[in-house]
Amino acid sequence: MATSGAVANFPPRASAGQSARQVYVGLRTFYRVLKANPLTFVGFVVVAILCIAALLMVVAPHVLAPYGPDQITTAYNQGPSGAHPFGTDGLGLDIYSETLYALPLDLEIAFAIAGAAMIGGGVLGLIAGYWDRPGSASGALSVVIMRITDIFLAFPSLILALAIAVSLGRGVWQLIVAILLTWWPYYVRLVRGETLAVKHLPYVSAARAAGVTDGRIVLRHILRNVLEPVVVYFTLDIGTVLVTLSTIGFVGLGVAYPSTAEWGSMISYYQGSGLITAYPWTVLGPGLAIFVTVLAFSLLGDGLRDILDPRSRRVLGGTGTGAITVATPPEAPLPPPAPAESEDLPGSEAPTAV
Amino acid sequence: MTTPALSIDGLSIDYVVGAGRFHAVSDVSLDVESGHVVGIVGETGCGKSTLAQAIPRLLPEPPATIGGGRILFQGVDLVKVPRWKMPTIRGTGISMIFQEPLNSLNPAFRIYDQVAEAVHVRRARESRPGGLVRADGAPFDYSKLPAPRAGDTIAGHFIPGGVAQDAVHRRQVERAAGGTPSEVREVVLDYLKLVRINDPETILDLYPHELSGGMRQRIMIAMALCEKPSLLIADEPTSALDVTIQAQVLTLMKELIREVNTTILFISHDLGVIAETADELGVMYAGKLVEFGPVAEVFASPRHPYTKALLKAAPTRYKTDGPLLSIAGSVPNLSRPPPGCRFHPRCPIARPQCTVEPGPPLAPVAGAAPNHKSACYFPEEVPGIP
Repeated sequence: MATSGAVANFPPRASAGQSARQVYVGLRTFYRVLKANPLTFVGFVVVAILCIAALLMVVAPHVLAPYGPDQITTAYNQGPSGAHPFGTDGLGLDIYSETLYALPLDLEIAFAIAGAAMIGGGVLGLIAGYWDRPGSASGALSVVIMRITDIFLAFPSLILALAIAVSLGRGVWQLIVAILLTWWPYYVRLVRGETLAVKHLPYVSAARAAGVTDGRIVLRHILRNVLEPVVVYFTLDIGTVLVTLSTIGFVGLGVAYPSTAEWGSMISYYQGSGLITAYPWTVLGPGLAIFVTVLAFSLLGDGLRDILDPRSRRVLGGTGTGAITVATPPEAPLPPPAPAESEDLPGSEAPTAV
Repeated sequence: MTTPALSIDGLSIDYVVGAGRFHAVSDVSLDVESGHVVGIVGETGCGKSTLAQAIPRLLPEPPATIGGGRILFQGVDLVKVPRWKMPTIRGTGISMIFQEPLNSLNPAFRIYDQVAEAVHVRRARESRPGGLVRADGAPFDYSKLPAPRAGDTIAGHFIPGGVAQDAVHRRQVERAAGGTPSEVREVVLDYLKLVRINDPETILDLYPHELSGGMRQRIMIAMALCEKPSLLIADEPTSALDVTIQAQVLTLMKELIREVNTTILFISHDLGVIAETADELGVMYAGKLVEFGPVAEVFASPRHPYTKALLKAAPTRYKTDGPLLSIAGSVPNLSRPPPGCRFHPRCPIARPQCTVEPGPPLAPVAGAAPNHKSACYFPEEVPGIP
């Protein structure tokens, strides 16, 4: 009799039919939210295209890229044309292909940095925000986390990232570490602030009064309500990371182009060799790629809030189980179940102050 | 002589704000007998909500600090229980209904998820080795429960002060090892029906913002009840609702009080509510309990000048002439309360003796019911105040 089955069984899993319907309703809601916000729709479509393209570039690059990576063509320094949409450079590389080869790497780096910063900073922020009682051991931990965060925030993040990138040398991993080290404190700040706001709301007190343990309250009640602004910030942040990434590449500290294609490094390479004045189209491809990607993620982030909020979700989604289906007056009392004693209840009239 | 379900002894709670100390609750002693409904009344800021939240240790500490005293619940002093152990006492031991039904449900989850969480808290504790411990410390023997009969309901099987022993509940426990979601759903539905929610099947799948304030408060009541607490604290459960919904929720509360027969501490500033629901009544003024006694007797013959003035100031539907009476003076600043009896600056029968520290203790009143106590030096003079 005494097993932990009831605990393992939580949260209750929906049956197959239920979950299929939930997926359908979720997708329909998603579509309606997108339709209601045209700019978000554009952002979503572009992000989807970019992600599919990146996947294709990994799996089957020849579907999209007419030339292989580092494949030298016979055309040198040619302007944009049908054969070379973004032209070619002095080595004879097709810049259109090179830009496409950089796409998966740039997205990977941006997602890795923003994702790791969100998870790491988010965990620290939750801890620092929820267990912040002064005088306790956890309160001391909270103070330590926040002071270290403040130290990192005191440096301009780009300068700090550049300094770390210089000391680590060039390369993809070095670039990720350099930016990540300056990136996580913003998430700690954001999540801690949201946690502080949420944890004093009555429903958290109500959960505590119901005997729910602190760990569960954090993981279930607080995390779910903090998630909304954090996911929106994350999406917008992808663009910011990409810009920082490109900036570091631009000053010549990122990935070494042309051996590895990365947008910021491409721009750096082409303008650094002084070719930009003679052959301006060389920077067009990577520049346009950065611009489109950053814009798309920003547009998507703005509309995500609507998708994540149950309130606007119901309005826009209009599921079949809405409150309007309560046809009978909901306040009409049912007959009391199996009364133990049938005495009259005292004061059945509406009570008023004496 | 039974031990009370809850025994508060000399409890003092201060809020430390900057360099100042705000004495929200001062030296309150109170016994709540098993199966009784005890009402606490008092005006805004008298410390009644602080008292209510201090019992399950839900006050933010700091700024609140428990200055002294004991809160005895099932033989344990809650003041001394370490913070990390409190969640095991909350919910199944002491549960609470709050005054803000509009914000007391998590906006991100459906009603079902929230009520089911409370059901699971109960189940998880029952399925632990050794199971739940009864109020008297003995392990709970499920094999001695009565067999389920047709028409068994959840209500009506509560044992005052102890753990519920009902057939539906036993089935829940038996299923706890391998309970399926649909069974949890049944239990949740039972409780939504218990709080008279019509069409509970639909309500289960709604989000809190789609329900009215009254419905949300019913859900909160269902959540508190499905954990079958030994003590239920209702902290002004109706003050955030409008008057007609208040009436509905109060009617429900009154019916449930009879049906579930549990111990309830009912905090309110509405004398009418207390008069209809409570067995005993405590009156608080400026952080002190000034009078405590059987509800009928306190209403009929109050033995503290503040209670008398409070009853006179309450509006009635029959009084249509002239302005409402008010008590002369104003509530003292609790960071520097007046010496002695805290009511003496406004009291019509105050004498020099009343200004001497410490003020009058809460003592039995001569010539009244044995458990009628008043913190006044001259309780016999109170009936004579015009």
